Amino acid sequence: MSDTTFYKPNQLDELLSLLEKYNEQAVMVNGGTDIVSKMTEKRISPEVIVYMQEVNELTTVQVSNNMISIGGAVTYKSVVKHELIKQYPGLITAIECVGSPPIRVVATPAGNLATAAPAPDCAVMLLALDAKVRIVSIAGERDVPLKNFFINTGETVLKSNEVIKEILIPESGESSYSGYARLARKKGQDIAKILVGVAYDLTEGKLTNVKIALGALSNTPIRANSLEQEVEGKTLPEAISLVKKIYPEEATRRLSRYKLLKERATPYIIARAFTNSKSVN
Amino acid sequence: MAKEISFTINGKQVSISVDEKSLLVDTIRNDFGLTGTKKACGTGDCGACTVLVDGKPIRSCITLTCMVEGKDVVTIEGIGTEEMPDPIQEAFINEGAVQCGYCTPGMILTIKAMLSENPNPTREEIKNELAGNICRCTGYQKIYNAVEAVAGKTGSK
Repeated sequence: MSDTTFYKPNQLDELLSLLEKYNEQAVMVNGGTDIVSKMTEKRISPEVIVYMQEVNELTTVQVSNNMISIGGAVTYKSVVKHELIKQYPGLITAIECVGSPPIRVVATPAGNLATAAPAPDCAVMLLALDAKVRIVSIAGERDVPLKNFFINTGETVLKSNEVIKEILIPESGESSYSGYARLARKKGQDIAKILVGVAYDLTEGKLTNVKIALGALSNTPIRANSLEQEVEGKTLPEAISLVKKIYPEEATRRLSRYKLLKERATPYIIARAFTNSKSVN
Repeated sequence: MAKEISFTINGKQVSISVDEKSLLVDTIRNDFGLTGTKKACGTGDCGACTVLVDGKPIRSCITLTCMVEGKDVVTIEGIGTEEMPDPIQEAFINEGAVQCGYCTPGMILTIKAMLSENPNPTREEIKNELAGNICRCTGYQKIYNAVEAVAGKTGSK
């Protein structure tokens, strides 16, 4: 028998008290699809497991002050068909790329953010949608925009007594578009080599408020600010044509066996994300 | 440490003491002797360990047993017998969708969950739904044929 203790809080204050008490000794399990396999591979051996997927306050998708709120325990499967998410076609595409249907039954957007793997589909799209997280602990709440959330691979601003209470995405109007594209080898259970999420408004046929997020092209998901400035004010066909010619300077050129693939294909995957973009699903 | 948890397995109420780090696939195979559920990749990628929990497909190799407390677990042994096979099992036999049989329990349970939500899937929908179940033998086409055969019988066309 191991020394591990398993807790299953049903209320948020229970969860927060457990985290306050056990702090770094506690391993959070949401859907478990990333963390449980790390435990079986014996990479981590927790003293305390806190299973959070049944915390009542974290299981809803709702409108909250002109933003759409996705609770910290809401699964991909619950999100992807939700009426309130139809306004983010890019997010629906990104989520449908994750794992496979049985994985999406338990895995969560919040878990994807907190795990901070280098190639996270949902996180990249949320970054492009300018989402923020509402983080909670026994001390209170704080909001962190996703562009400030990731520190390094596997590392975020979350402290060990904190949990993501909800993900907040600005509401998307009729003239707001989002799209997602990635380069992977097969349909299911594959981690992509290039991930791109785009979001923008169309004002008199021109792109405004452009956001381009990239995954697997740096140690965390990043925004390609320089590329955003290039396409700002262009029409969609002009933008698609332009991005095919530019390898964004924010993307690293890390030496790996995929370096050449990434250099050659990234501009086309970015173009594809724009081509795929829609206003509503 | 050990924790006493209760749940139902193939319709039967059980109460068992498990190590709090134990995996559902190991509990199913070792504590209950139900070896129809397979442990292949161990990382949730291949689908051979798929069981149904509250009717939904779950990767038992990346699920802690404690996570199914109070829930209904169904393994391949629970959906049919040799004398009275589930229609999906029958279709697999008729369509030649089984070769070594290792992926088969996971495939069938994933299909069962799919058909309960979408009784008449298109071939494209079938492929998407089974994208996470790997088969090294059949080349998948006969598996998709088996699903279409079952859907044809149970769904309204």
